[in-house]
Amino acid sequence: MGQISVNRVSKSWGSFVALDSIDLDVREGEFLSVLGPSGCGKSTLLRIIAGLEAPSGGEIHLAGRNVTRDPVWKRRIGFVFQNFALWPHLSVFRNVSMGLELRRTPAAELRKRVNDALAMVQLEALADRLPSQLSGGQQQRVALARAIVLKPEVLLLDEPLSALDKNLRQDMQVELKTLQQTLGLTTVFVTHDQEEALSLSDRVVVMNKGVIEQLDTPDAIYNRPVSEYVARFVGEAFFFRGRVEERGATQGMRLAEDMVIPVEGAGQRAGRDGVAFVRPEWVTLDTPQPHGDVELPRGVVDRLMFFGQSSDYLVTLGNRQMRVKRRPDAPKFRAGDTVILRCQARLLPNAASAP
Amino acid sequence: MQKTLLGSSLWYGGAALFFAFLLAPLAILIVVSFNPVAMVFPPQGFTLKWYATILDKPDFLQAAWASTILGVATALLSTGLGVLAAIGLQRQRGAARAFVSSLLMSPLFIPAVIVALALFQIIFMMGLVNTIWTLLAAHVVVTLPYPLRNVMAQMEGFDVRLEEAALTVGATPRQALWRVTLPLLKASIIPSLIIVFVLSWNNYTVSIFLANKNWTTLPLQLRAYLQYEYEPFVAAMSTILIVASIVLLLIVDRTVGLGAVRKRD
Repeated sequence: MGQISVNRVSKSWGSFVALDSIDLDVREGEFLSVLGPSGCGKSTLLRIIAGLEAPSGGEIHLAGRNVTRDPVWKRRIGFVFQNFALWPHLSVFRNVSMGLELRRTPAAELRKRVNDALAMVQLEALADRLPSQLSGGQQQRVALARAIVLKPEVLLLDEPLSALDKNLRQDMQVELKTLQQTLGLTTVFVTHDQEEALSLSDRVVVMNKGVIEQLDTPDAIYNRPVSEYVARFVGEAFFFRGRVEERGATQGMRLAEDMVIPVEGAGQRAGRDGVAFVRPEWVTLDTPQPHGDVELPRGVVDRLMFFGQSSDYLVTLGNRQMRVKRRPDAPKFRAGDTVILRCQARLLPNAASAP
Repeated sequence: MQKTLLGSSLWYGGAALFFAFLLAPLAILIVVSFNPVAMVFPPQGFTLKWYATILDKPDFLQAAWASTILGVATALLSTGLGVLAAIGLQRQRGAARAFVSSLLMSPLFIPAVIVALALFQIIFMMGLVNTIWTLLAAHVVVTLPYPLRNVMAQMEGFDVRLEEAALTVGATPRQALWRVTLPLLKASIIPSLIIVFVLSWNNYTVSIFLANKNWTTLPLQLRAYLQYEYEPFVAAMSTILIVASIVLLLIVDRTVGLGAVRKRD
């Protein structure tokens, strides 16, 4: 059993099912992200772990104890809210010290622990300020300090970075991860930002309509998604549908009479219909040769988009458009060029997933 | 206010009526209180003797004391209940909330004399006698809408996550209430206390039905005195009431501002 153990937890409001029998184990010291669109139940799951919401069924264990019936204030958690929820009438110091005051911590120890927590988020100098006198990033740090000062068994973060602008968010990601690793805190991080989830986490949970679609490492989630939903949600994906064929030692997928794309993955046996996908950076473009590669998919370059770190070709394939990400070297193709696509598409294991 | 001809003439017209009908009689009353001779205007001299005579009238001192105790008790009780009701109502939705809040607000829309008569009738039917407790209860009923409305207005913009955050650091709901919710509602609680005190201190309509001999309030005492005596002493006494009310309201305005409740949202 992990540090956090969620057993068959359900939550419904009337006929609306927010969570449908969720099972989840978070290991000690692990950084786990829960990723999904709004309304998928991820925040509800976090609030149930915290005790802010009661589950309709199932059990929650924290550090080996069954806390399902324990109210929030008896669970040893740290919680960071999306809007930080700092108390506007209290100084930064008092915001952080509140939990210790409630535990009747002796004054000297209280001061030391609050200062340590503030030092950890580089805010010692601002201890006397009110929250309204702080920037968004500073408020975020106070919220973190308030959560960690109590040495919680688990740290629960509800989209804590989404209120910050982009540059600040990237800085805070690094700080957050560093802090989490330094303290070895078991952390559940709820977000709808796939980049954030992939870059910070040891493992990622992708949720959809109250169920867990996939729980795996960021690498596996990105490169070996189990469904179209996951493939689409954690990055850009272009899907192919067709019949899987054995081609010597390799597999291919016949897309049309004269078009076959190489595929990999143990998704489907030969002779069956399947779904495969590619990511924009997996594809290379090539000039068609008169006599080679006759069966590779062909497309027409629609436009070139320069992003600095990459140049993206938008290529029209039949009546669909796919993005091909290339390094921003001198562009080899121009709009209107016919190109062939070289890539290995990855078969999804679940052919039954909806289009 | 739109800067149209109609708008500004309404504005000035309203202001003129306000001065003519509300402030002018009060001003005359205050001037008369310094008149050495009789309740007439313009005054024929200047004296403070009517103010000094208050000290010779133990009835008035006792009434002032009764009004003060009643006012403080009403302020605490009415505001306390108003805060609790506002917090409770904020957690409700739909019909129950609308029904209960209009019920609590109803004394605002019913003439005070009818409320007082109804309360008197009920107390009589229940076989109770007029005591300080029945008087206090009546004052609370008629003043409750004010703190309720003030606190509810501020609760509108209240973020429940601030309370939840307190729970996550180990506060029980009661501790969260004392340490987070109530301090944040201070901007509506303090003015409510003072406004309720002023309302209770000045109340005549309810008190006339429900007060007894031992708890004659200042406005009742004043009215009783007027039946037999008509001298500038009454004006002096009234001036004290007016000035006390104005001072209290100024305190509210200076500390949190009379419009503080709305500005906060």
